[in-house]
Amino acid sequence: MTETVISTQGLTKVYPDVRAVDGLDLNVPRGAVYGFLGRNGAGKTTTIRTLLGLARPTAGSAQVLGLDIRKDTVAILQRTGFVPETKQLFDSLTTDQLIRFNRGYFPKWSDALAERYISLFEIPRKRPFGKLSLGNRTKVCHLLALCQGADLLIMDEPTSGLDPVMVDLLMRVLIEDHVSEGRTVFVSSHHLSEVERIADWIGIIEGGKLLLEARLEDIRQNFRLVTASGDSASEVAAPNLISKRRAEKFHRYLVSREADDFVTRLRAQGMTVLEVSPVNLGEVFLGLAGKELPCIAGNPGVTRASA
Amino acid sequence: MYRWKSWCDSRQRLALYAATCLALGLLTGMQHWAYYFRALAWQSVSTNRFFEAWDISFWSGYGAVASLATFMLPAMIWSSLAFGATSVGREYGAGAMPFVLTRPQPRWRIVWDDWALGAAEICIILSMFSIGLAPFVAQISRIWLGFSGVMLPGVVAVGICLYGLTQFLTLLTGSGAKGVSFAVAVVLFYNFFPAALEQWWHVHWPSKILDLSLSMFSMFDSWWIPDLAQQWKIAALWSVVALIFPFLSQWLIERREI
Repeated sequence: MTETVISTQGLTKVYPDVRAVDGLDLNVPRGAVYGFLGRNGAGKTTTIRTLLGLARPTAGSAQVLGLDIRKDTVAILQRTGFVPETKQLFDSLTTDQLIRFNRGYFPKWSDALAERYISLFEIPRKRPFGKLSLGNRTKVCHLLALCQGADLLIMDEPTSGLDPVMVDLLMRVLIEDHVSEGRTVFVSSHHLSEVERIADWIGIIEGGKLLLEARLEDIRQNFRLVTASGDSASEVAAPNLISKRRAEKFHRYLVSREADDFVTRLRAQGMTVLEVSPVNLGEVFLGLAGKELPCIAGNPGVTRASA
Repeated sequence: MYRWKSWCDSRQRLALYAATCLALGLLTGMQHWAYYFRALAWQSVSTNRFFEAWDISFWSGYGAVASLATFMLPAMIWSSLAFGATSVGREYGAGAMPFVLTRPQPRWRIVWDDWALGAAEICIILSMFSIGLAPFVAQISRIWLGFSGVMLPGVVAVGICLYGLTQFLTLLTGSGAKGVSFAVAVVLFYNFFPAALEQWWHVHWPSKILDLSLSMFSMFDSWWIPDLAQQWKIAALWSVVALIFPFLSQWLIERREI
């Protein structure tokens, strides 16, 4: 059995006006790069806040690094590097001062790594944080999280404000310096292409519920998008069917495995299968979390918002 | 480590306030010292019986300590509000609280580290008046030198109390400006509401702990004798009250969610 670094069981967080996280069952294996995807307000940041003790769960339970999030917050934080969504640290402190501040909390802090990343990321050392650009603020947040010798890195929108060169550099640093050392990276992001580049596990959350948790390799090899036409689409059901969407007289089915069996089933119901294609992460995400729009007749796949 | 961050933020302000208070203490002391020797000179040549019997030492000392109290009150209020407004609660408004609260340390420690540093800084600033004044008062009157030393803990305790209140309200509102505004409102309410009730509606409010204004009258048990016991009582009572606020802040931050 694979050891899990983050595990939640029915994790729920309810605010007076919204059920932000709703019965979440998450399992992040040790050593994985886990892409946690969802639309705005899907519950990604609330999940992270709950895992790190910034918010208390309303119901359910969760363990991070085998420690209970309700009781062992300090021990969890000792071993977890966190890049917050807001990228806001202390405006008055310079990068060097922020390093000094952060170093005091983490016995495994690496000054050598800090020097390397300051040089690599081209971070100004003596300028106060409040006077840095958004990109440089993001880099400082990464620097602090990456040098503390954490077993788990939790990154909420890690590339905000970074240019493509820095995004590329960050991805390489994550893989070469951290994942290769057996550390686990939990990335919450909107940028599917970036997540697809480094992640080996994917979790998709919508409305506080986990819609999908799968290996990215599994998605590439086994997931298929089946496009069909016919009248009996509403009757189609299969255990491997993840989502079905209608675009006027065309139907698009996302199946997680055994697409051939599913196609046979469709044909048996009198439907015409037009295409069976492999899917990328974006198509899976849109299949699960996307909203349907009216389709222009006769052209499946091209959608346009009504005026 | 949060204490170190607070220290980075506050050390320049501490130096400025402390230097100002020291200078004011020295100038006040020099002024009263000069008056004292001028009065002695006048007394030596005076033929006025009333002036000959005048205890110059006592009243010069009283004048110096009264000036001390006059300067200390605004300094105490100003520094308490300033240090309270820049305490940990402002990190909410600045958006840095997720970073602060995800450092591996108990939340109570953040509040107490911050509070302890601010309290120490207020203590240093207010002590500067006494330090500046002391060499001159020592030349004038031993009684008032002792009294100025005894008065200091009371003023410091009230200052720390006001600082703790501002720290708590800044934490509650997530903004230094709001924290100060509410703290001022609480102090005004504390000082004026009971009097207003009694004056206009003849309702007797339970008596205040001790006069926050630390008026000169609270220094005496009679018109002539400085009441040292009263000063220690002020210090002790306000120290107890001052300790309530960091506990309230601790209670708040441990329950606060982001």
